[in-house]
Amino acid sequence: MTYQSLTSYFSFLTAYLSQLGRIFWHEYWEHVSRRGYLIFTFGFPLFIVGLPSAAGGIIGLAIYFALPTTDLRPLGVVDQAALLVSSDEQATLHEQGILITTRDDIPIIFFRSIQEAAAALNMGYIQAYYHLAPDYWTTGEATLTYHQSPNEMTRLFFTRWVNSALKRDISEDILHRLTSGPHFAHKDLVGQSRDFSMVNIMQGFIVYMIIYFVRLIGTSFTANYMFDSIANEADDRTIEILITSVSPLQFLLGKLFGLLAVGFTQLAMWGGLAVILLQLVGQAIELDLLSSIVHWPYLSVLFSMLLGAYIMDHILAAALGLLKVSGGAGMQLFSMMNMVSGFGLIYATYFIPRNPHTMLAIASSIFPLTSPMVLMIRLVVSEVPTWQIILAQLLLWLTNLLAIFFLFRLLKSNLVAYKPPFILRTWLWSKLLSLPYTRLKQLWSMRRGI
Amino acid sequence: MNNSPPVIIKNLRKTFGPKIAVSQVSFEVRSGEVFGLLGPNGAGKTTTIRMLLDIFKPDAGTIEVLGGSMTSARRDRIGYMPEERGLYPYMKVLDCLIYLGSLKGLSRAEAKQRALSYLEKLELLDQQKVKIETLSRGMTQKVQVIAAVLHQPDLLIIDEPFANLDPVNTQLVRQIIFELRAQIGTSIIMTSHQLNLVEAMCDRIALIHHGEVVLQGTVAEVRRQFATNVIHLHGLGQLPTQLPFVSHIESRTASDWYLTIEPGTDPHLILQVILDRATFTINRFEVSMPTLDEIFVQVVRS
Repeated sequence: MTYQSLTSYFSFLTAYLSQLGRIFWHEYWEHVSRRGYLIFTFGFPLFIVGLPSAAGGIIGLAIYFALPTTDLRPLGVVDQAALLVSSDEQATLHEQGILITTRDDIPIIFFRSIQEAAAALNMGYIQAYYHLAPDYWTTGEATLTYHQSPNEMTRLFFTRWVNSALKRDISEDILHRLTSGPHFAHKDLVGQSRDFSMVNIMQGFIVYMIIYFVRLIGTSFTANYMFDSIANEADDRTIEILITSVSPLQFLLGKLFGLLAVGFTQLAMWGGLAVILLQLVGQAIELDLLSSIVHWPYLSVLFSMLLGAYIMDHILAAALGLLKVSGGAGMQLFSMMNMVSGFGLIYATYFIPRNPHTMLAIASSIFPLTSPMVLMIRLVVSEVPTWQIILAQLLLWLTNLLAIFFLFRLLKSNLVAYKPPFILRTWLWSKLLSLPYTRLKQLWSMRRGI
Repeated sequence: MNNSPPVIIKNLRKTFGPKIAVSQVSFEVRSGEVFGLLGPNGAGKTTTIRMLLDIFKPDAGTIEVLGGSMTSARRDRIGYMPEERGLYPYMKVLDCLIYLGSLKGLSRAEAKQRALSYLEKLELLDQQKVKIETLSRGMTQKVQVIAAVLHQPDLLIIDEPFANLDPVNTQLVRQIIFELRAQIGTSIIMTSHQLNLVEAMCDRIALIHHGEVVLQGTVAEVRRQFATNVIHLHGLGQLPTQLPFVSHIESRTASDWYLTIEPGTDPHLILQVILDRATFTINRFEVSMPTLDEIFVQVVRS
């Protein structure tokens, strides 16, 4: 290649990219600077966080005002079952003359009998008393006696006290087993499976929900920009002006990337706010929520699959726009896509964790339309061979490239050649019903002629 | 320097399913001329223009634009104004013009400067920050014209440029088009149903009917081709009731006479006869030719 041809190739490339950049920027800026976009981008997180917070606050206040005021008088306990304090300790307390103890800042008075407790209640020394009868261990029943019911917090405190007393003599290990359930190790003959637990299922579910909602947001909001933009430009003939200035491929790529960037801006805004929220919540509960996400080994695969799926949704939206499907029908198709993703939730979160290496699971984690969901779940709950991870990504991105190529063909043939809008009824008639109808009509005419 | 005509179209054919949109269309547009592409609605004018612009490919035939087939560099030297719309309705006038100009290779600053200059010429300066969707049809049409000429193209293709314009604005747009031709020698292809304007503006025309070119040449040639055997005389005096080689004499006003001459007769011979008689002072002598409107109707109806 000579220096001159190299230079001319370079200048062509520069001009090509420069025009592409102009279309990209135009699409991006025209959308992100619209009032509706700004309101939605900033309003949506406020709506998601603010509304539940406001609702929670209102409900909390309502409960607070509905509850009886906190009674500062002691709570009486007649523990004849020796559940909370052993009989010996109770005897010691009484011998020492110390009848009052405190627990969680609530003063407690232990009484020997119901009569003593009732007298104290009648004289107003205590707000109420609990009675744990000697047969509590067999009946599990306790009584609460009062003139005016103690508030919810006091009742909750006593329930927790009883629960912790019941667990007192059980070892930590047994308690842990009781709460976390059995831990199954799924091992197949080739040793591909991983340990399977509720933790893995929960991780898988969370990963699925992240992908599902990112796609839901993508298809519901940002992919619609693509659909509207292409359909409107086809309608107002702006596209005709543009493709006499740039090539159809430049037009398509500029628009696709520009509108993808519009969607990413929105997602970045919401993602950024989610990170800030996680950080704030993490600080409040003294737990580093972000480090577990950032150091997750499959984060890069998740990003790659999410991006691939996101682009695929946009290409589909552009294709629908090019086919000039009316706005309503386009929305219905998007809703159908989301519904299918929703049905996939059951398969992806219930069956795959239990059987992560079936043929169906492997195939659906490689097939581009399902791989973003299924592969990620399999990665969480099992050891997925590297070749499957690579193949799934290759196929997803290759599909996107092919889809762009077909989109380009669609632009040339459908939009530029001014085909009439696609109407399913007309298409069905021309492809399936027209010929048999004509034949039948001919036969009928011949029969009548005879 | 390449002296070949900016547009050479040969034997163009395009079908849409069973419908033949364009068949055997051939014409040339010469450097610096205004070429009128005429025809009734649905004749194939816009299809021809779209093939010329490489919006879609012909089924057969060849197109040479600005010295060859369409490339990105040649695309930048063409200005196009479609028959209707073609602008972003939600954009402000100036922003839209700057964007469209930048796609044609102008820098932002240059596009802005030129856009403002054209907006001033077309009396739209006040509307520069107004959204296009709020403009009247005539104003939108003028913005479309600016978008097509902003980058000073070597070839300008304008589809019905005067469709929504009043006489004053028609005059302004005409000025813009002729200025462009005078300044940089732009060749112009225009379609219009306002044939009086075509007659006044175009150097040559082609009439397309049912997808075929049925008439082509300079406006004078075409009119001569359809010239009738009627002579129009304007002057003072009295003509005799009979003249040699004249089959009918009609006086429409005191000074306007129409003489129907016998087929094959040279009009100069009639002029000489009248001068010899010396009973009529001739102020104007012309072979009566039909207007483009009349030719159009005649061709389309036949």
